[in-house]
Amino acid sequence: MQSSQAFSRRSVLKSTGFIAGAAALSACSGTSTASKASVQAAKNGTLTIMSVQGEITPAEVAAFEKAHPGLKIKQINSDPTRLNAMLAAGNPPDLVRDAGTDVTPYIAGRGIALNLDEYFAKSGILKPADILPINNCWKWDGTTQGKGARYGIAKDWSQDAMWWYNSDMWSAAGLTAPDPKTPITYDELFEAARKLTKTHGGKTSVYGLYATTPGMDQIAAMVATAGGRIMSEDLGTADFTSPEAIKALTWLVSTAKAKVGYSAINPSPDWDGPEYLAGKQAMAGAGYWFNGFLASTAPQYEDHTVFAAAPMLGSKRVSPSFGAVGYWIPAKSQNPGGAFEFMEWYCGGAGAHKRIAAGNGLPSMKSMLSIVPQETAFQKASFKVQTDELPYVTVVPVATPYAQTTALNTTLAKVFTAAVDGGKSVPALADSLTKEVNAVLANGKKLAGK
Amino acid sequence: MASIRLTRRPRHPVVFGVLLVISVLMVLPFAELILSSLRSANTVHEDTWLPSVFEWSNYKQVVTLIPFGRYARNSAVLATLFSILTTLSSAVVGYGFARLRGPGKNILFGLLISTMMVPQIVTLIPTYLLFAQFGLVGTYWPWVLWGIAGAPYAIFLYRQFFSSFPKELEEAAVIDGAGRIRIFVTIFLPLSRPLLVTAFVLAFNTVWGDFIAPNLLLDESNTTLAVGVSQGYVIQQGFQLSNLLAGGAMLYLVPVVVLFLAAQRSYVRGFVNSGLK
Amino acid sequence: MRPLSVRRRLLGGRGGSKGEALAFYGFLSPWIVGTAALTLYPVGYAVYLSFTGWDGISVFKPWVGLANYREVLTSPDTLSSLSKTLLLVAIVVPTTIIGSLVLAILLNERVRGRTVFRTMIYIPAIVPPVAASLIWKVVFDQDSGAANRFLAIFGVDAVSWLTGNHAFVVLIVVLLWAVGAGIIINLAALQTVPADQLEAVKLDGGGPLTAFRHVTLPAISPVLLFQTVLTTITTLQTFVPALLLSPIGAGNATGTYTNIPNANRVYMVDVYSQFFAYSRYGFGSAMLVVFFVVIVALTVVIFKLVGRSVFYAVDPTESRKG
Repeated sequence: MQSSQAFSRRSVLKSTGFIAGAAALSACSGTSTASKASVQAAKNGTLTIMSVQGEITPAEVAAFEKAHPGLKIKQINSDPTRLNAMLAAGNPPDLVRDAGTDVTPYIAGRGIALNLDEYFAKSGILKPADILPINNCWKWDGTTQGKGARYGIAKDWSQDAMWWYNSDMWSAAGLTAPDPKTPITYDELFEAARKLTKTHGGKTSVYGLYATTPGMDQIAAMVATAGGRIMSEDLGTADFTSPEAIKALTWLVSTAKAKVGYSAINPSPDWDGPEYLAGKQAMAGAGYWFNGFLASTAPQYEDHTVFAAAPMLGSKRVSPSFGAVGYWIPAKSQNPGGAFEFMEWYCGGAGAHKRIAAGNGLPSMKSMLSIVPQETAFQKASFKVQTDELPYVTVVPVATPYAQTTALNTTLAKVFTAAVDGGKSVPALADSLTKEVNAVLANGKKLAGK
Repeated sequence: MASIRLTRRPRHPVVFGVLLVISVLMVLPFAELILSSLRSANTVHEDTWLPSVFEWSNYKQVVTLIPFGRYARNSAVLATLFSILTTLSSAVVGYGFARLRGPGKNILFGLLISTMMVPQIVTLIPTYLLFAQFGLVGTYWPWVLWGIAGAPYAIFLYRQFFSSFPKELEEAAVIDGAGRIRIFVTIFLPLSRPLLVTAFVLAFNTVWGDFIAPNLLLDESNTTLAVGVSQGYVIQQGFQLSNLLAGGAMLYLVPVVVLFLAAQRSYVRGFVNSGLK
Repeated sequence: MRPLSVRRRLLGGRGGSKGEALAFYGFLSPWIVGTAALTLYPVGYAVYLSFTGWDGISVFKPWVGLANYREVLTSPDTLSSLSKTLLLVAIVVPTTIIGSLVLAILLNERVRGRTVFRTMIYIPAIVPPVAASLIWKVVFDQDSGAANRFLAIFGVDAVSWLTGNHAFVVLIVVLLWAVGAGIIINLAALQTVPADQLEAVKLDGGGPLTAFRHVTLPAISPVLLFQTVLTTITTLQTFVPALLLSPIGAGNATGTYTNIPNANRVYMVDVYSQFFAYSRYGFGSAMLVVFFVVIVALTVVIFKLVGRSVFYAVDPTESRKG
């Protein structure tokens, strides 16, 4: 039920199901996109769902099975090894949980995922006209993410470059709390974080900034606000040496070195939530779903927590999602009809209702925006900020058919920490990043015969 | 602990002191885990020796947030099943290596030793494919088969142990016309009791501690405590609850520690007897 | 003297009689069949994969010949992870062997509370890796861990234990924490040291060090060799603690390859990330094959250096012992 800000930031769970690859063979031949599957009726029997433990609760399973008497749900934990093994054995799960922003080019291009256009066209619940644009990240036309056929849908989502701050801490530090609807610049954010951070004896009692990682999502989103991009048009190479990328890297390196927030060289023992609630962080980097977290965990924080627009590096307002976590159906699923019924129920139907009504992220369906909670002053304020931010959502190209996003993030983390620990300059870091990431991509292309 | 009477002068004060310091250092980290498990969700990373509030109710959540009892039972069943099979099977194979001869014995023994060097990751995908072929994924059959195949380390211990007996032990039985199986069951197996315990405890710990195989082969409904504890303590939004994780890890430890304490004497004797030469 | 026929039935000719050979294979059959299906087949599969560029899911496994092996042997990443692994072995193995021997000798003394000490020192060895790594992550947390709180008492500034080169130190601590496993084996070995010889040294006026050098050490040397080999094998394969010690921030306790500090990117970490982060199943398999060769080679080297094979030290079926 999380949308995936922190997940995405730290690339933890969101791509566990995704297997990805060095070799995107068919993807690269250009004839990649699987042809539309004709709709199959749901068959009675077991639906195997690969998801993270604890997400689809026993109560939800019971509710779904009650509404769909012929179907029984069997859950298995997200695990790339297992998914690969299952695909290799020809008996994949019926549904796989993944981050649409990260996996779509690969699963679609490879023909692993079922083209769901026909299913959506005939669906009474997930009507294409009603689907919010964020779900374009689940589209792939063979060359571009965001165009073409649909391969999945988010269960809920958020604009994950947005952030929350503790207004009491800001005023205590003598700072004017920023206007939530006007994006501040990353430099202003850094300045504020400096003043909010409290250290003593090598320990930090308050971090001004939210946790940052040198992940593809975060860097690409920052660069996009300056009008640049990391991935090339054909998604085959990356460039971290553009002026925009240098600016983003400089910010990430300086904030990490200044220890104004948890970072790759100063990792957090937990995610932003508990650290924020413990007063250890003056900000939490999270999208709208954090609203539901506060409501269910620490409502006493609502009167001094403010939701704010995604910061900007340049002058272009872009506020992407780092996840749009949802489900896709493997092409070899034994029961795609049944799987789609679950997708309808969980991502747009009764199963989504409670989650959205509790403020845990935004719905995939326009028509469900009305049930996003707006009772308390806090909920109203947060929703207002969110509504203003909505037009700036775009698919920032991060995913590539040539390598798993986890592969790129692993490379980024490795090179970034080595460079910062080794005192490398930012331009040198940018050069190494470009070289190493391109080596990963080149390897994927080579195996694909390109 | 009760048996240490500090008031009485130990016979080797220096040795006693050194052992005391090391023993305490070895178990102190557990205290950190216990204390973490008693902190509240939002103060779990507070910088104090003792929790500012002791949240004893955490433990109630630990056993209810995930089906703790069911997972513990699954782990116990799986570990016991595997351990019994592998303990006996390893004894059989160890006996064969120790007391019998056949062509290719040295090669087979070399193979046994080399299999200890094979990293688990090598086997993951092909093993899954193999079990999937026979419809055994999602069942406990893989552990039965692994159990029957024996464990190289245990086989090695048995071999050392059985090798240490004089020829005469069998000779009398052979004169009586006893077959190999009878000799093994009536003479050697009873002698090896401590080693059986040692092998059982080692095997039990292996399965109890293993995360990778159950995650690969079992479903959420029949998986083990190792999987449940490491992945199950999450809030509604999917994030980990560090304090409950600590509590879950603590409870997860208890059975293996208890098993070891209960079996300690025989366990150590098993190693003594095997001689390991 | 035993009747010849019995000797024959027991010992057979060279390689054993037909009946004995049958019994031998009968007793070994569970292991032979099991190993063939559950170990040899997977290993063979990995060897096959090592010649391909398989990505983990394609039906098609492109044959690349020796390319993967060439890359393993020339890639700076592989060589750096291999050298980190060898450094880990060079630190952990001697420390474990010497440490477990010294502790076993101390625990073998008639000291008050000996049983309790033994138990306390041994218990960490049975802690499953998931729990062990969690414990040490809590202890070594920079801002709230006991390690830094302890240092603060002496006015030492907090250390960022779980990052940079410090992470390697923590990894070593986690591995050494399980020293108890070796202690038990050494304790067992110490029981086999001939007491009369120790007595003889004493009578000759030799001190405890002389007794140790001339009686204890020779008596337990096979056990030490066995342990050295075993510890080397397991240390080379260090993976789970490195993964679980990595800062994960969010998600589950089982960690992620992305955040493992560079200092802890030992060989198996590299292999796992090649498989599961980079989806390079062919390359990862080649890494494993190379690694297996390294392990076997190291084992052989250890045996050659010590000059005596433990495994063949006792074998009642050898006729010279009959």
